[in-house]
Amino acid sequence: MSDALVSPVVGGVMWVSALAIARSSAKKLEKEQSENLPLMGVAGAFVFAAQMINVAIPGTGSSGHLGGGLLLAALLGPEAAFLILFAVLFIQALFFADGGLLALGCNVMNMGFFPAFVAYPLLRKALSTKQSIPRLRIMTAAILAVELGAVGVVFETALSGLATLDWKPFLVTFLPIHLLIGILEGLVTVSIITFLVPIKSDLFPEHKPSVSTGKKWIGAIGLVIALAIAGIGSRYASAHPDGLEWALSKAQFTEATIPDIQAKLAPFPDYQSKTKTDESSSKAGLVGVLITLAVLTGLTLFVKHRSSRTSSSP
Amino acid sequence: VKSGILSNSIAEIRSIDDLSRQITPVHTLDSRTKLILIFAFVVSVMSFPRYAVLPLIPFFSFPLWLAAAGRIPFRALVWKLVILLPLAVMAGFLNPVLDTIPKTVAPFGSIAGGWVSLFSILLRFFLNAGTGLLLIGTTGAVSIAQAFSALRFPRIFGILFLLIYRYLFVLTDEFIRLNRARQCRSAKRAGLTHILAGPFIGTVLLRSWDRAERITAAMRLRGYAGTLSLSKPLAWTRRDTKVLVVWLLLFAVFRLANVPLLLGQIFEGFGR
Repeated sequence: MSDALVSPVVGGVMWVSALAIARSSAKKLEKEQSENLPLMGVAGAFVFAAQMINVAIPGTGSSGHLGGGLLLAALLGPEAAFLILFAVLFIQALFFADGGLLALGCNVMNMGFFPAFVAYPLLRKALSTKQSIPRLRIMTAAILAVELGAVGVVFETALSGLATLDWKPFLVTFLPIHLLIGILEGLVTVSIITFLVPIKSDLFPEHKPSVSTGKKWIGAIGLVIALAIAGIGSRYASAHPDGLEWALSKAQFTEATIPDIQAKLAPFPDYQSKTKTDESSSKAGLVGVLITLAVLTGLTLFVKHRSSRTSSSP
Repeated sequence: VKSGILSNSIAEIRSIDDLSRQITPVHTLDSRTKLILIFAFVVSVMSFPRYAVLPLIPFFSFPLWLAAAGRIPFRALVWKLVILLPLAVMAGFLNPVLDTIPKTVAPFGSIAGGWVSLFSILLRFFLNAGTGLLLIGTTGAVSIAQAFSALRFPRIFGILFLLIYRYLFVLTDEFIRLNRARQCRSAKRAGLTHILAGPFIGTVLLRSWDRAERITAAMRLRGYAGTLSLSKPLAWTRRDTKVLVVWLLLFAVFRLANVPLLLGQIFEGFGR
């Protein structure tokens, strides 16, 4: 999902959750000294390349693409998978403006948390017994991970309140598309694992039986609570005009009441909420834009001129 | 398999990487300063309500400053953003249909609110995406990884960030080589069949991994012991503090006051 549809409260909460999980994952990896850096780097680059092929989904501000989280978890364990996806998505946000920095927390949770910590535990045991490859299980886990991520996107967008599309039609368009993506993700994961297991069986670490399953559910519950708080925060935060404005417009208040409340709350009312002075301030807005643009152009030319005079080329 | 997408993206990363090696007033800033500023910038821009258009415009001063003082070619930057534009349009192109509450906009009279919010989304896209690209263009991957560890991100995160970045080139190399070999052997069959897909992708992974292990062995032999030791340590100067404070103040002003509207009102006041 992209920055354009995430509010700072939702984005911030998801960032904090993602950072907390990254920190505990990093600690665990360090404690077990189970970092396989070359493989982590290559697998990360691989997932990066796979994610570059993506298709935009109209009206939702999101795009559909392979996630790769399940494959990473199978190869390197869930903690490493989460960290790798964090880094991959960070690079994508920076180099390709894909997703964006504010939405990064959401994206890491949607594409990292669900496959690594919810879907992967379902096939952890089956993978470690070294018998036949649990193809069906991998498929199911992949679809589950992708669908959970899709639900995550819908809820984060709805809680942010910046999108026009209501969450119900959003969910109805989003889930079937992601069912297809999940199937594709499952097929790719199955075929790669099927190829790798006979050649490099040592690639798939025989995991110790999971001790901390309970903790993971606590993590999931924590996420839900965090999302709920973020939702309440962004919609009803007492002195925050943006969230309030959103809640009011959703609640079908008449146009006239919104500016009244907003005038009391906001230090400078936004241009869109005028009643009597609509026309005149709109004009003032236009004039202001022209002045601002002129000032920006002037300053930019000045800075550019100074920069090329004072600094030297490498 | 289209190797075009992959090699184009790699070429793009390389060109951004080259830009980050310049020496300008922006490049010499501490990477932490830039990272903090960009986060503050994105949060300020995104905290505006759905229909905000006017108050967003002053925020363009920040990317413009980064580009001008950091000597990043405007044309290349704008071109990159234009290529990405369809994604942003996709985010809001249904708005004019779904949201028909009329809004008055000076030269156009009354229009559907959806158009206003679509325009707002596009402005936010240009602001955020442009600034993100400028961060990497004026800082470089190594310095950003350094800033991560200085800002108390987990140690392994910075290493992973750099490794994935570096190994992207390794992986692309192996991919292109293997794909060429496949094309040479598959005569008239153009695409990669689904039977071949698993083994093909798996082989790319294995070959890249082998190469990555050789690289790591070489790094270990040269003294790598799990932490990055870089030749240029981070150094916070007074200029960093100054730049940080000035821009944070400006962001606060832009966020709290509708600057273009105020300017317009002042101008009209003089006219009367």
